[in-house]
Amino acid sequence: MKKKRTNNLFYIIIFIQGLVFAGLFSVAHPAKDFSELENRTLTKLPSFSLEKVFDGTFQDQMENALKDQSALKTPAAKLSALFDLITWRYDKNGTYFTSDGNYVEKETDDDYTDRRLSMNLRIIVRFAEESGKPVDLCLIPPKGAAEPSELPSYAPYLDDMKLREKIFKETKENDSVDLVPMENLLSADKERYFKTDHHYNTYGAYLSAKDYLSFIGYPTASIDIYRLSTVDDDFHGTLFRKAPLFDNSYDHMIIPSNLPPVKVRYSYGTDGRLDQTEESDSLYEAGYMFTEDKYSVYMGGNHGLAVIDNQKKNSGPVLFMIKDSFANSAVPYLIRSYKRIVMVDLRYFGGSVTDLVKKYDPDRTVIWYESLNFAQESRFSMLIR
Amino acid sequence: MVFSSMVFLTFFLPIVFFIYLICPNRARNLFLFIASLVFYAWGEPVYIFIMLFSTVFDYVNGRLIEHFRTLSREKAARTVLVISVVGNLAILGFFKYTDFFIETIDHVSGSTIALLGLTLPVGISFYTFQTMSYTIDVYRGEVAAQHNIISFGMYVCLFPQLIAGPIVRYKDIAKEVDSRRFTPSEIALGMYRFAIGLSKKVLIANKAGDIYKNITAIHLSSLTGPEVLISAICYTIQIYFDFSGYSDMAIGLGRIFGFHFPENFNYPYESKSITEFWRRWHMTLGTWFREYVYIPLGGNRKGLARQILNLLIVWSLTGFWHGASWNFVLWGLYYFALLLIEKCFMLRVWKKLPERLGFIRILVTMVFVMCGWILFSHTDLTEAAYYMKTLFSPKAWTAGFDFRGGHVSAGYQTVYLFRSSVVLMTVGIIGATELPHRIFAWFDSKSKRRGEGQISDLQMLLSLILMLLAVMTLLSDSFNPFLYFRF
Repeated sequence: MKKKRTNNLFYIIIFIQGLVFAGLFSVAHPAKDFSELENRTLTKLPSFSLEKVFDGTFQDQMENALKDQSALKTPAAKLSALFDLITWRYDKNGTYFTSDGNYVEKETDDDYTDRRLSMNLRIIVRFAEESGKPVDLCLIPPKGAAEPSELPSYAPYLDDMKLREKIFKETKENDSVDLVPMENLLSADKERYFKTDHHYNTYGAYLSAKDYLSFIGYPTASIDIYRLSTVDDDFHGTLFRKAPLFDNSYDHMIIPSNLPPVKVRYSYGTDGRLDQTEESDSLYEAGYMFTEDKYSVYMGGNHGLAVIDNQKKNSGPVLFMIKDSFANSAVPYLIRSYKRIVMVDLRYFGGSVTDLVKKYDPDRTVIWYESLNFAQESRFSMLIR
Repeated sequence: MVFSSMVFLTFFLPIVFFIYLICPNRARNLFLFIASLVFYAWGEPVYIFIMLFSTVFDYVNGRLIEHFRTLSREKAARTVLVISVVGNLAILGFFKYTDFFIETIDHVSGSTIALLGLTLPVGISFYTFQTMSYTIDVYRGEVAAQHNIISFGMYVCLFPQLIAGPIVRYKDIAKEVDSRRFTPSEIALGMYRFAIGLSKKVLIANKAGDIYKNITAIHLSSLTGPEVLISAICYTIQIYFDFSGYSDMAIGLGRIFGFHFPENFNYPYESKSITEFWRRWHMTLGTWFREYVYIPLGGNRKGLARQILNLLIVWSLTGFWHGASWNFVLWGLYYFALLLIEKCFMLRVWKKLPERLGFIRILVTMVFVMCGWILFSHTDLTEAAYYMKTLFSPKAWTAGFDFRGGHVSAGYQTVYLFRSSVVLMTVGIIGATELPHRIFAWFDSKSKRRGEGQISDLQMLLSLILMLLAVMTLLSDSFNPFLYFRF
């Protein structure tokens, strides 16, 4: 006797239950504050208030919280990345990715304007003249420009050569500002950039330091003296979270050692006021190895002001660095050549840069930025305040 | 609230379904009314009062018209009707079109009247049209006035079709307002329809919109021919899957609760002429304009000249209904012109084409439809003109295939763009035809149905998988726009 199955009831029950379960994934667990993978704070379920309902924030927060707090979110993101790969879509959230786990941040010519670039260069020329110190532009080409084979086929990308040519043209007449050619970095064979992060790896950092030192006529050392060691081999960089792929590509965190003893003084605070200080005797903050933000192992990330003293030298040149995060991993390869390096991050420093220059009296100033970041930077006006 | 949101899918829908299930029959209309108000207030906590006003306004109007009609007081009935229509149009006009008029006047006369800056109440174009259809039909004697204000309120505010249609005339569901069935068969089929609609929106429309958005972010001056073509195809796909997906969800949800809404789309991209297109696209809007504007104006019964004028009026209004901006009016007039050309001679020319070359008609029709969408998608007319120019300019096309310069060349950009969108475009184009449905129906006919009126195994499997994918996609994408939201 054939059993009479009732698909309809079965379907209705599964349909509704399925939806309820999907909702439970968002609410049936204690609320999470922060997502390591996404590197941002998560929205939590809002408290009810008529005011919030009337201006719509309650509803928005509710929806965002249901999405953010869902335990299905990471599997969903992975499924989505896989789906993209299958349908030949190789970019998501501003990042290119390939099936062999290579990520490149999407940068194009549309990301900067000539107007901003010229303005930045004019400000820097003026800064150089007012401070009386030569300024070097050590601009790091982004991964897609240095290693174009890592891009998905036919992926459009920033014309870094053209950008550098524009900068060169505008600074060549001027004696006090120079563009550093990055020949070693650009022509090397080995991988110089991380697979899952937009920064260069330690080899890339070494090459850029070598490029800079040889440009200003300082002696350079072979990478072997630095006794590189791997401190982590499951490093997921900044780009991984944009399209977390199933095949879990990892980077290695390799750090140079055999460095001179240093004393580092960090100054930081909120709103640009540097009211907190910290001291360290290492260029590394090992604690970050246990977080998702492993690149911050270098100098503990970005601070408004960091002053590094090479304890091994009694006297020697002083370098003034106006930098973005790319400088952090290059500094270990520079410190041998200097008595002191002063690092300023304009994103976190609100004071007067010219006062700093007066105080520390460096021999040269270097602007150590990723090249597109340099073209886009809107904070250089702080240099001439 | 939007259907494609976690709040709706995982909370509102299950809760409303469950309560409706255990609710005694007499209280079901009240419950649906309240649930619909919550649904609307969630997205429009302030403007809900306009909708409530509109509801009470036309409830009273409907009762008055019926009252006067039974007393054979023709003029009084007509007066109330006029009040109703004028009132509804005034509400719609005020909130939707005031700034349009101010801007146009400022532009033309050089005056500097400030804009009101009012946000558009969600769904106002739909519910005002629905209530107007009610009072007009009561006046025409085609339907009895609804005496129960709760039931009437439920009709006006019913959450399935409140935000984006289909435009459900009262007489379409008058019987079901008062008595309807809540059976497993209807519920299951409704859920199935909803699942299909949700997938169309989240899995296809949103992804097509993603690609479209990326292209429109490109500097106008560096746009190439291929880029415009791909963006136009993606928009064409997006708007169909978005709108028809939403209609599917509305119809599916309505069915769950026992309502049978009219269909809104019938494979419009398979049309062999523009005339046919408008009998397959947004059908309830076309029906509304025909019933309440074209026919009252005389339709085609007052000579050719008058018919052309009537068509002109209807199409200008149709365009205008879509948005308070000149590009929409022009879009309506664009179709007016094409329809006129077809009516005068093109349809006769088409008829001469042999059956098997019918696909040529579809291709030509789709080219015109796609160009129409380019106009529709840009409120800035100079931008729209620029896109059209680029689409047909040989220079823009050769520029698109310039490979010098490797990764920074336009040629690379074109190939990359094509490769990233070709799967989506193929799925979209095939999905817009009846082919998937026919293939599915063929497979379905092979499997044994479990009794009459039972959803088939294949339908269950397909829709549950699609729902899962849709929910996962919602979770992973922060990109979830809704095209017809400004109506």
